[in-house]
Amino acid sequence: MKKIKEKLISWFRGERLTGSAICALVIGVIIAFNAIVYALTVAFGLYLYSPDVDDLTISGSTDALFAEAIEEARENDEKVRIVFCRAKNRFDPSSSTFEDDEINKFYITAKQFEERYPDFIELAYLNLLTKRMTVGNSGEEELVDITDYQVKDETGGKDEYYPLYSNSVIFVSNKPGRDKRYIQDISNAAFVMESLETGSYSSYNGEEVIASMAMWVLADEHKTAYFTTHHGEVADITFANLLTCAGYSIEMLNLRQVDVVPDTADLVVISNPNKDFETATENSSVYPEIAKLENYIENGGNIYVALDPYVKKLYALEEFLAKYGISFAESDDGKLKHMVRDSSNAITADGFTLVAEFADSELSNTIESSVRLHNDGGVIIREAAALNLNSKLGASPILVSSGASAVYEGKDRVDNKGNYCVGAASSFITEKGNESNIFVLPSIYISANDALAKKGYSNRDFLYSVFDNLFGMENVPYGCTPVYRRDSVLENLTMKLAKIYTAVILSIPAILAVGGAIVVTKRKNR
Amino acid sequence: MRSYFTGVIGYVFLVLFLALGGGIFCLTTLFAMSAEVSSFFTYMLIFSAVILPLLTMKSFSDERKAKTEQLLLTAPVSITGMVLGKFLAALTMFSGALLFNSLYFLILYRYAEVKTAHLIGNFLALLLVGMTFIAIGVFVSSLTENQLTAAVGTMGIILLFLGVGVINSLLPAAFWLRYVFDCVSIFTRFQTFVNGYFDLSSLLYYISVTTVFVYLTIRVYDRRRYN
Repeated sequence: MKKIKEKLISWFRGERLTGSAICALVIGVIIAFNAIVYALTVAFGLYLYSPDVDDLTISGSTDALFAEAIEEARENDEKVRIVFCRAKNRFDPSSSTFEDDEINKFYITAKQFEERYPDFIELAYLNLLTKRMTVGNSGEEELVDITDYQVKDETGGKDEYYPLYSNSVIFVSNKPGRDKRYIQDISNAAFVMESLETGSYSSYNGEEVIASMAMWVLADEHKTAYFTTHHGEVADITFANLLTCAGYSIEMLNLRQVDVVPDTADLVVISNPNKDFETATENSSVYPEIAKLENYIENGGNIYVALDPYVKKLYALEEFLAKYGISFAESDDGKLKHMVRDSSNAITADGFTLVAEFADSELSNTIESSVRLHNDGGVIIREAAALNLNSKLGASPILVSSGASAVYEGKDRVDNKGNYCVGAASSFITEKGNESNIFVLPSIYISANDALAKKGYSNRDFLYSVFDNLFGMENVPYGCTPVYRRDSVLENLTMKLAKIYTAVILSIPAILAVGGAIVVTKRKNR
Repeated sequence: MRSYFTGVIGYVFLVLFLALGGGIFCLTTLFAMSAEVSSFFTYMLIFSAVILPLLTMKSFSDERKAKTEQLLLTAPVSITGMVLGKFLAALTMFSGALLFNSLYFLILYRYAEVKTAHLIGNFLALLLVGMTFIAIGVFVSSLTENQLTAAVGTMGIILLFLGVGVINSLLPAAFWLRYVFDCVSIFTRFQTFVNGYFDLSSLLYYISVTTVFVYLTIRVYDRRRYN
């Protein structure tokens, strides 16, 4: 026993091993220990601290939206089926195939909808490999035809189906014959991604997506919004998603290739063009684009225009809008628009990011009242130009800047009386007796990702109210509360203060450098 | 520790660290108008990988070059104590500079809601990573008498540990090697902290790597003493 003990001690002290062997042994033990702890951490989530879990509870704002639809659905014994392209057990946290990813978050929201509206919403799980589907909690699998859940890709005359992926979600009625809604990748539709590498997001609006998709599936008619192309228009995916949530299908419109704006166009969207639209010229045999838009308006069309005020003057388009009472305030030579800044009430240091107020007009009051039923926040707008309106032509202000705002031509302030119009609509009866509406926003920012996702502001509900009250879109998903993951803007920090802080911070190493140089020099000289 | 300030290296390190750290802080938070600190720590990780080798390069290589190594080996101090002393001196320099950098974040509290736990976790992670880099630097410094070689060698090893995380992204998701690289990658481990998790296995990992390299340094000098 004593000999064994002595042997063990000498092994422990490394007296029987060479130095390399000891090193290898020590390193091996450490690696093994690390591997075990790592495996345990991955398996059991052994975190000393983990970040807050997002509260994905739905707000219940869809009760009013669904009320009528639920009644009709009950009469017809119809349900909205939300089909996930994953086996059911992949959503079970105790399953080895469980993944806590975006689709799982969307599933949690969908599950809450199923529990809240059990007669109206049901979930289904489609296994893409086995082509078997489980509906609800039945546990029974049925073999299905995948194409029943795929949406046709009709672009370019193709006769193919959009592929299904494990991140795809399909909204379909349990009754045949209804149109389907297909989301190829839920992380693009319901999440505002902050970092693709870390998978972190700043906001999530699954409630809104589900609400709007459910209403779309059950609607007898669908409206279509056409985005104009070939003028350098910005592909505003966020705005397109918003229109989709409002119930529009999205199509593209090349005015040069059509004789007239299609009859199916319930809304034409002109999204930040940087090239002008064609007008009639003496030598042109082309039926000009502006004339097509005028014809569309005459027949009762609706147009949504978002214009970047920093783009060079688009004479034809601006003249078209001026006919309906909306024009830009600008310098005498027309080169510079009057940009609105509000140094005292803005939420960024440069004064360009304003919180716009609702104007005092009948239409604005109507739009505001719909917004205020669901949201108390203001409308955030950035880099907006001031508009001039002619009320005789039907134009009225919708959004205005505060009384403390001013307008600038470049760096020069030209006026500071405040209350500048930064969003306007023109609503009128055409010569043919049709009601037509144009909404103009002299900024590209109102529907940008971070504007729509900003906590405490009502940009989403404002735009829904415009679609509802101005363009006649029913059943828009007001009030669906996005889940905000991060809200880390430095409020009230101006650029001037930031520069002061920077100067102080960088002066410290500078002082240290000088002090150090003096000390070292003195030491050397001794 | 005093040796850092008898020469210029200590001052140069502090000036560089505070200047660049302060600059990164201002650019990623104040000028970005955001209290989101993840970018700051990611940049500081890369910056530390470059600057810490400069701090550790003369730990032992200078002693060998100046032929004062014999004094160290024959001094009435254990090899372990000697190595730990060098290691802790460098760590103290780094910790002090990092602590000073952390004071800048007090500015953010005035203008936004800062997640303190997240911030402390990130600083702790950066300290652990720095500790690991210093241990690697001290080890490489003990192998050579040329300071530049020591610095470059240290950067090479650090970049290897960091680069493993990059290779991971090129491998198929289910490939077993990815799991191994995840275990070994300093960057992957660090990202866990940046994402808000204080991971026990990562804490042990950094302590382990530090222990291994400090132990290897002790073994190098132990062997040198008897040779």
